[in-house]
Amino acid sequence: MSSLIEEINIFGHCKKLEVPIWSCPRFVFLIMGVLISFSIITAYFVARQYTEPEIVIGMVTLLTIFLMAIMYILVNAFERVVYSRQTEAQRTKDILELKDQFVHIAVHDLASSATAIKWGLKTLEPKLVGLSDLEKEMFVNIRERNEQLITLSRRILLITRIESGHLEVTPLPINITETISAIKEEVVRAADEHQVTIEQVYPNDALMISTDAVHLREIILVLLKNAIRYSNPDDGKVTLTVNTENDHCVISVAHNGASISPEHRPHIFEKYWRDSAENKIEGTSFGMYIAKELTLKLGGTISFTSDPEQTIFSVTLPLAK
Amino acid sequence: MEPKKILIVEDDAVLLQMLANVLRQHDFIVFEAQNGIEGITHIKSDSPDLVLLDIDMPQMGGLFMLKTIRANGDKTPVIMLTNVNNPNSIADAAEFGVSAYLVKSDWEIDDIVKKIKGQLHINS
Repeated sequence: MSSLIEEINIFGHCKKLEVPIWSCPRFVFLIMGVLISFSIITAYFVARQYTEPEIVIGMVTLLTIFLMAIMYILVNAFERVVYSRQTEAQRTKDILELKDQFVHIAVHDLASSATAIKWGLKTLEPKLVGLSDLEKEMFVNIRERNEQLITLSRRILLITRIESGHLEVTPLPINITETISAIKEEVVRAADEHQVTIEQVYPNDALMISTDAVHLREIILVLLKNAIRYSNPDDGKVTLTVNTENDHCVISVAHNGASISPEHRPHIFEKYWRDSAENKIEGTSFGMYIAKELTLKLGGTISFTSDPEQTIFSVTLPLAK
Repeated sequence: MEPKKILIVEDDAVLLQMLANVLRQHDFIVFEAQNGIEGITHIKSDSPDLVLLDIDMPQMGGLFMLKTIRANGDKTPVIMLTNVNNPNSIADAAEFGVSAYLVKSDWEIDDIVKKIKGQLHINS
């Protein structure tokens, strides 16, 4: 019953469309119906009064012109609605593009500032010898926080590009084990600081795949940093494996930390999700979302298994043909 | 041995000064430019041995500058040093024969100096 009332509430519909009443198709349609009914009744009475063919033909012609005028108004009303929607869609698109430009400029400036801090800290490193333990710890904290800022800025840009559909993919043939080894070198310092050992298992070190090395680096960095962060705090171990399975290359990153609880598993690849326990561990929250989106862009899949012994994240990519 | 000449094209004044200071400490002669137009002027007047080139800059960006100097037949080695990290820019830079493409925030400043020295065959 309520849906019927809603259906005949013409003014409510027109309000929803956000167009003037005379541009609202339902209202114009109603007026048209009233006028057509009125015209037909008038034509009936006139035809009864005057039987001469000239008068009847003239009357039918006038009625046709009148109906055409009504139809024109109706079509015009539809066009206005469509035009107003197109304008709105264009405006939304323009706003989103402006937002992307703003994010790009802001993040570029953020990354430049973080780079300046990074380089400045590096030049100050020789002075660390004369500092107290507390001051050294503060120095290390500043450096770690700055690295987080750098990672965050890179990931914000990536998310912007993923969501705007502007993420470019340039596949080139690469030796996967050489590439993965080079990426692993980038996290050695973080692993040392967390007292985590990284083992590499590459049964075939001549394996070639065709992929975008920039995006692959980001995926592997996310998985490695995640594994280092969540591995066993007393005896942290991360195992990096590159293997083949049918016509695919499987890159796995395993750690020996606590398993992922069953209720959290469906949310691991969601954009902003982190469970309350994990929130206590520092890091940016959308790494796994980026890893998933980039893997899909590369034509691959990403998955994980988790038990009390170990948690393994695996990325499967097509082998070079 | 003659000191080598480095041209830094970088719009961020702080990063430009940091790089310039560190390179001067390593006995390089350093020229500074804050956009592609100034960069081209320095290439013509100072004939640097190597160019450190940013991408996102006002007036003329690094990729356009690179394209312009290559179109004029200049073969000075160029190291891209930028925070732009997307496959298209890397592919464009490679097409114009850059010696290396470094993402600034991924590199420590002394590793950048090592890279420059390696490119110019200077022993550390």
